[in-house]
This record gives sequence, C-alpha cells and structure tokens, in this order.
Amino acid sequence: MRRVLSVYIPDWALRCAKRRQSRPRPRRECERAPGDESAPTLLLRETPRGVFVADCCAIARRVGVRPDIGVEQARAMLSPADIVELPDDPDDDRRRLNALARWSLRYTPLTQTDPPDGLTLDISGCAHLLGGESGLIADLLRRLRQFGIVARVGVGPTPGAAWALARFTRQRAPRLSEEEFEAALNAMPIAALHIDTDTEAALCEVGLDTIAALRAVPRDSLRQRFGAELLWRIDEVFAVHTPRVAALPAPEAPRVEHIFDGPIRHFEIVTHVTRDLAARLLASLGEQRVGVLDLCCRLTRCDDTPLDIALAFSQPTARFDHVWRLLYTRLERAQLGFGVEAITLDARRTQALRDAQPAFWLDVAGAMRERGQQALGEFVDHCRERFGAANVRRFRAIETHVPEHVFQTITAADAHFNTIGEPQGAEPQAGQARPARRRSARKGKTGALASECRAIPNDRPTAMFDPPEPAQVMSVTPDGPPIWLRWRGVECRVRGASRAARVRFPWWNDALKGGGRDYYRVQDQDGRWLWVFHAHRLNTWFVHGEWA
Amino acid sequence: MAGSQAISLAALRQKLARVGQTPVGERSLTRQPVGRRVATDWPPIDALLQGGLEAHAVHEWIRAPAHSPHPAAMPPFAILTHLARQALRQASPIAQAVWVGCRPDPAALALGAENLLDRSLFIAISRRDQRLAALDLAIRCDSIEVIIADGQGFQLLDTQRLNLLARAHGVMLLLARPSRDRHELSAAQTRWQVATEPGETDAAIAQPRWRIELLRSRGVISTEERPNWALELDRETGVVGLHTGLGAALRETTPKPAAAAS
Repeated sequence: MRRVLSVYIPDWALRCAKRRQSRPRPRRECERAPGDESAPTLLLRETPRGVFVADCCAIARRVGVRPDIGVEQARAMLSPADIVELPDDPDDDRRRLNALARWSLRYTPLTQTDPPDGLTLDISGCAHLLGGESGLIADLLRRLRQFGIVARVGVGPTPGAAWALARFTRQRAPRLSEEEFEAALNAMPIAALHIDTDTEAALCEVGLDTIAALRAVPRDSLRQRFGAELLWRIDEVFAVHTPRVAALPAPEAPRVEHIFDGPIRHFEIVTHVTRDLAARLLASLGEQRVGVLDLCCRLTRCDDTPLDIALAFSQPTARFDHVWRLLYTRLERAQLGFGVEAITLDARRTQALRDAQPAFWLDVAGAMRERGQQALGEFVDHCRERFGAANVRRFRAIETHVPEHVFQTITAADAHFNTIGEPQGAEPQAGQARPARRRSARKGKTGALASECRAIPNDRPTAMFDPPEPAQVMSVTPDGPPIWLRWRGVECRVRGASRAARVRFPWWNDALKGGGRDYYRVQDQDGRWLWVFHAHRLNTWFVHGEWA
Repeated sequence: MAGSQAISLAALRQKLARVGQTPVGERSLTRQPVGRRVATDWPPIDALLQGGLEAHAVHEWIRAPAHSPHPAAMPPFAILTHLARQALRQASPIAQAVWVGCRPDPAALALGAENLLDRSLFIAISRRDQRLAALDLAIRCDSIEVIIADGQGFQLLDTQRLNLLARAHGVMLLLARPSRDRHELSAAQTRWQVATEPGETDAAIAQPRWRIELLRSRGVISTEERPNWALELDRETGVVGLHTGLGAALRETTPKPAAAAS
C-alpha cells in the first residue's frame, strides 16, 4: 500500500525572508533582530496596484491582519513602533524549498515540492529503514527543528490525503487508523481538498462547508455544477485513485553556449570562442566556490554528428590555465568538417572547492599542502590526458595470502584514486578490503623465521613477474627444493634454497590455476635470488619473482 | 592586551615582509635548496660523494653485462627504492615519488618501516618518447621530489635535457638502464654499475647481495680507479645496507636453537 508523507511549514515565506535579511528594515529607527519573535512581522509584496501583505506572523494574525490586505491597513491594526517589514521574494522561497526537497532525498528518492510551503514524500517501502513511519516522522521533525523549522506532517495513502492531514488536523503528526482516517477527512472543511478559492467560495455559499456534506451530494450534480476536477480531488483524498509523486528533476549542469550565425571553419575563431566560453564558465563556477570534475565541450558541426570533447579532472578545479591547456590540445586534434555552428561547454560533474585563503595567510605547512595537492592533481590530469587513465596508477596493499592479489591497482579513472594516503589506522568501510599490516618476522621454535611459512609482503621479492614465468627444474626429490633450473633460456645452478612455503588458494578462484603451490627462495651461482614455486595441479615450475 | 596586539602586529609585518621578498607564484614550497645532498646511508659512499648524491641531478644505474641473463635486464629496483626512500625522508611530508616504466612493481615499496606506496605514483608506459614526456611533466610538478624511471634507449641529448630540468626544478632523477646502454654517452651526474654477488649458501640467513661500482661522478676524485662496494638487502626491513662481512660472520657463528621435539 502506498504511503505518502506531506510536510507543511506554515511560515515558510516569512522564515525565508528573515534569513535573507541580515537585519530587518524597520519602519522606524528602532531596530529589532530578525529572530525576535515578539515583534509582529509583515511580509510585503510590491505590485503595480500598491504594496500588499503577502504573509504575516501569528502575532499580526491575532489582531486581524490577513494576506492580500494593504500595508497601510495592516499598519493601522498594529502598533507602528513594533512592526518588522520584510520584502517578499517568491523566487528565492521556491529555490530554498527546492533545496529542502533535495535535502529530504535522505528519506526517499521520490520527493517533490508542494509550493508555496510544503513537501510531498512518497515513503512507501522506506519507513522501515528508520524504524517505521513514527521513527521516520520523528527523525524528520527533529532535523527540521535543528534548522529552526517548525513543521507539521501528515501521512496518507495519497498526496491529497496527506496534504489535508498535515494542514487540517490539530496534531503535529497525526497517526490514524483506517476508520479514524475516513472520519477525520469527512470532518475537515472543504479547503482540505486543495481546490481553488472560487470553487471553495461557491461551495460555502450553498452551505457545503465540510467534506462529509460534499460527499452526500450526488456526483453528477457536483460535476455539472462545479466541474470534474472537484470530483477528482474528492476521489484522490479518499484513495479512489492515487497520483504518483514525481522525483525531483536533476539539477542542470552549468553550461555556456555560443551559436554562430553560420558554419565556422577557421580554427582560430573556434579556439578564441571556446577560450572565452571556458573563461566565463570557470569564472562563474569559481564565484560559487565550485570546481569542475567532468567537462564536456560540444562542437555542433553542420555536416556531421556533434563532436564531444570530454575532459576529466582528478580534483575539482576552476583554474582557467590548467583547463585551457588540456582543452586546447584536444581542440587541435578536432575535425571541424565543413564548419562548426555552435559551441557548448557543460560542467557535467562539479564539486565544491575547498575553502583556501591566499597562500600568504596560511602557515608554511598549510600553503605547501595546498600547493602540493593542486600541483599533483594537475600532473595526474596531464598524464591521464596524454597516456590514458589506465596507465596512471597507485597501489594499495591488501591483506591476503595470494601473492597475485597482494597489491590492488587503482587507476586514475577510479573514484578512490585521490584517497590513497589517508591517515593509517582508519577502519575500513563495509565492503572494502582490509589494508595490509606490516608484520615483523618472529622466530619460531625451530629458529627459522616464521615469515618463511607465509606469503606476506616482508617475505616477497622486490620484483614480481606477472604472469609467473615457466621454468624447467631438477630436484633431488619430487617435493624437494630445486638444485638446477633453466629459466629464460639460461641454465642456473642452485647454490642454496629455502624450505618450502606452501600456499593454498580459495577453491572458488578458478583464475588461479594449480590449486596449491610450494614456494622456494633459491640462489643461483651468480648470487641472484629467485622466488620459485611448484604448482601442484599442473605439476609445473614457475619463477614468480626476483630479489632485485 | 596592548602588548599582545603589538606582538601579533609584529608577526604579521614579518610575514608580509617575507611574502614581499619572493612572489608567491614563483616560490617553490616543496623543494629543498639547490646544492642539497641526499645521504645514501652508506658511510663510505657518502664520504666520497661529499655528503651523498646530489639532490637535483640525474643519476644512472646500469646492470653489469656479465651478470645479466639478458641485455635488456634492468638493475635491481631495491637499490633505487632505498635511494628514493632516503630522498623522501629528507623532503617535506607531502612530497611524492613517481615511477615511470613499463612494468610498475610496488613490491619493493611495501617493504621496510616506511610504506612508500601512499607516496608513490606509477606511470606505466614503455615507449621512449612517452617516457621522456612523462619525465618532463613530472620534473615540472612542484610536489614530486624523486623520480625513478626506465632509462633504456635514452641518448646524450635526452640526459642533458633531463639534467638541466632536474637542476632547474629541484628533482632527483634515478634512471635504471640495461647493460646494453652502458656504452651510451650520458650527461648524468653519477653513473653506477650494479652486479649481483653470491652470498651465503644457507637460504635461512642469506640476503640478496650486489656489488655497485661508481663509473663516473663529476667533481669526485677517488684514489681507486673504480671504487666499488658490496650492498645487501635486509629482506625483513627492506633496507639496503653495506655488506661488511661482519654480520655474516656473526650469523654463521651464532648457534642455532635446538629443533623442538615433535
């Protein structure tokens, strides 16, 4: 069964106005702080017909101030010395509501704004993650209180029902059974159907003040007199049909574009325009303290498919010099065809830049850190661009007895590439491999080093061969160490060999042929140390590495 | 109150004066002063080289032909890793090492008390022109302190250019070259030849050993024609130290504990 949660923030516009103002503009010289709840606050809207009240606080409502009355009338009702007047900005209110809706994605992926002062969340299948609907509601209200927002919520099978419960019940978060639900809805005024004011006024005129009274009227009469939408609203509230809650649209990527009057084939013109666009885009991103991670330059050609030049950066950057240097090398290789009609630059993926004050205000260590990370990031970007992301690598040691898997390769295309080198000792997150720990050798009872018996980094050669190279070996006993081997076409006489170190592999790992291996450290006549193993299943010898 | 304000204002004036002396954009915040030496931790070599290897220069390591199974065999990376570790130890904590070559192998870096993996970047390329381009980019990067590269096929002009860049940007470049490159002219500050040397036969105590020979070092006068030393890798700690022979004698004379009764 679907469950929809509606969030109603009664004074949303007023709250946004207070946040916009560092201090309110008082009518008289006496000033009050924005958070001073004892002062009556009016939200004013300027129209061609004059200044009207868009919204007001509870103190003003108590004396009779209502939205859409003139400001002079409102001032007359209130004490002139106490009024706090704030300008209305519906666009900013809508933007803040969108931001709040994006924040509420933590509860469900299906979230939409309910302008001007609410949110609608489809919490079907999500509530159990927070301990049920009551847990989800408690968490939501608590977090909103931390933002300074006092909200009311309602939960129902449809958006309309939840909307009505949030706005027209006495409880802040009513929890109703099915019987109570229908009874509560029937007792609500017709404004709970979320219909337009004209229809509401017309219904009140004929004495239909409550939903129960409305439902008692034959449907055909209502359709004929007030239209089909009224019936649709009634059906929605009582879950006859359940409209879907749409997901929030993804935020648009920052974009700049230039459209030519006609196809342009001159490389210099294309380069000049692209450079200007890049400078504008990066400047606007820099003002918002945002850096680009993925940049796409699209050249719309008149005779061919658009040419996309995609650049990826290892760190968010808004530095024009760095971005332009990489973009220019790609532009030089671009095929313009019979001309370019438009150039578009999209910052497809962005990330907030770290707040970095100018270097001379930081201490030397801090300045070094900032400059060093920036320089290394740009070096990695150049190498990625020139040699490919797969050829720019870091390694992380993994705690495993399988020699081939001790080092995990992380390429520049990997999201974790830049997190290598974080402080040691951090607990690995769920699903991550545990990083290897250094183990010091321990002496066993026999006096031999215990590390000989395990394939761990301390006992590994300094150069490993991937894949292991086959060798021909002679030994005194079938399970004994080699006394002679031929490897890479060269025969070697073994001067000394260690005891066998047996390694067994997981039975599910088909890639590691041979099942188990016996590893030996052998020294040839020239003093070279090799790591040789005998694969049990294949009954073959291989050289896996060298101490070089 | 007034006194503390005076102190903080004085400190601020000093800071601004320091900034005014050198433009921020031209100041290298990670590199050490020119002329610095990287101690190799091998006392006789450091004494001969007047403190160690020059920090801002190219140093070549060539595999000895007699002891390489193949002309393209590279010198031991354990020695280069040891030198890289020495260079990073003396540099700032954020300095990084870059490895340029066709087969990046991190095994040597994970040995020892200091894990260099977190401070190492690998560029896996094999073509000569790509390696030169990567070295050019790496030398110009502020946060890279030492570069270990596959130098096979480099010519005199290449090493001259790399040496000039290393001096200008304050980077130590260690080039590993196969034995077939030993006759190539080079502008490297020092040239070393490395050969494996047989050690003890008892694999339980034996350590990999090499003999290094200083073929050339600018500004160094040695009484021997080609000074050479024996180095040994401690497999437990990853440290490459001088082989003096005393350690081996001690290990051989130390009685082994009796085998436990099973």
